Amino acid sequence: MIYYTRVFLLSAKVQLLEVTASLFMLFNALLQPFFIAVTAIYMLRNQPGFEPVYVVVGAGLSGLFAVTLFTGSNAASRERYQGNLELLEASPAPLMVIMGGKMGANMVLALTSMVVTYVVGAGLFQYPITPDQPISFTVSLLMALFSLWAMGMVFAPLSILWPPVEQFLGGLEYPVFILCGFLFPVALLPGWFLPFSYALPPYWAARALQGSSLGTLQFGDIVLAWLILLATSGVLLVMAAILFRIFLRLARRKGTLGFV
Amino acid sequence: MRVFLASAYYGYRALFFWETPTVYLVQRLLLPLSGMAFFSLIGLSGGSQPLEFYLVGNAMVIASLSGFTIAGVITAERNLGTLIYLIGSPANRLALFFGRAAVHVAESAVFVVVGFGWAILVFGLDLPLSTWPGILLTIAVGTLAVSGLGLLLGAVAYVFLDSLVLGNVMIFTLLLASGANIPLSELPPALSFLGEALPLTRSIEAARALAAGGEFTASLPLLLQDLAVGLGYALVGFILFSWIEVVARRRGTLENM
Repeated sequence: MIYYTRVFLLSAKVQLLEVTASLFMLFNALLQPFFIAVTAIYMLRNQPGFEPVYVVVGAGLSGLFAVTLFTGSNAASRERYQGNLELLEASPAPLMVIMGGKMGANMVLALTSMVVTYVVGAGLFQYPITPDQPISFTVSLLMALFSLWAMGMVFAPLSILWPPVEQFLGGLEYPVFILCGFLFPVALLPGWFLPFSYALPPYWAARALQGSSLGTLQFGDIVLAWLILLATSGVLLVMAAILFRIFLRLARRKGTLGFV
Repeated sequence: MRVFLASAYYGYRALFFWETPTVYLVQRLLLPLSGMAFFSLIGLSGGSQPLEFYLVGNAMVIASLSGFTIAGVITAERNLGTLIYLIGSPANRLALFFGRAAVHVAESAVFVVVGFGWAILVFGLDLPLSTWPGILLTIAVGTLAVSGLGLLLGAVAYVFLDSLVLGNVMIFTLLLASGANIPLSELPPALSFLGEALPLTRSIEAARALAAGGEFTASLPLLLQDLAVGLGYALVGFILFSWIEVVARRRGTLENM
């Protein structure tokens, strides 16, 4: 266990150094949520029941998801492009633990999205940004990070097994923002969209975070969202383990681990 | 002309050499159409304007795709190691530089039309047939104008080295300050001033006026102004491109990554 933890942390440290040097990832974590928060506040601030916390949380979630999407989909393929994938696989450390550390570091970067949107709401626009249920909000944020981490763990082997998936995932940014109701209620969407929303962990993350920050959800409903996040994360991690095994088996059999 | 056409053709093809048709459609259509839906739905949920305002504004912002891809051409050339050959060639720089924008402009204009079609089919935007000729011309002008900014960003990418970030900043700045989502009168003076300085702002205004049944002649001055703004950006871009090329040759930094 100590060994795995050490590998996880070392991998996270290296990834954190790398990802914070990437302008594109910094854009996704810092600038994109900044722009979305500012634009949405200017669009919505004149409505009678305007809740700045809702925009701050929603725009922050957009940054969290964007970082997960892009870092997750290139977590393994980037190692391949850099010629490290064969070395990583040959090392005694399990590839999934190494990727887990990388995604952990990506989540640390993603978390800065929330800080940026908080600064936009509280600093730039001078709104009082205080969650109605701080403890529930904190737990919801941790649950959201865990579920997004698990999503990233599925994206990593997927984009290696089917390379077009990496580009395809890049196009799913806004559809997920829409389906998960980051900045408007999903009730605005046609009813047949709802099953898709319910199947996406970010929808439950948004529900728990917005419900606990606005105080619009009962504690029982927030706990339900947490349980669904835990369950879907578990399913995603099992899927990730299976995909990593398939990927490594195929790569060894075909000798294509280092192919770009 | 030959250099212009070759530059247009290869500048486009080379950028998409890695794409499959599915990925192309996802990246070039799903992303802008879903982005348009996202901001329009935010507006619908509590914006101060009617849904048509957001649909027309965000459909026009799809034109920024041209600026985004044009800005990416220089970075792509450098990453592929072909920039030194391009610069080393005796080809006319003006034809080379503007040729790279040609196909992207046409393609993006088509995508804006698709965006309007999407707004009509999915969101029920009412655009009478009589408004289409004016709207089509507005789309052409808006796309050309924003391409000028793309050419400038492409030149800046020589120094800044990341056109992807520059292109994204351009798109989000347009979403915020061009009047696509927020009337300029509701923005603070600095952002409103920025909006006036951006290309596309006046084309968006013209498209809204035309969609509401306004006379084309009334929108013509707006379109001419937008064209002039776009041309201004393109000329500054070309001058910057030429200057940076000379400096990069002198210092041997053409392929700096």
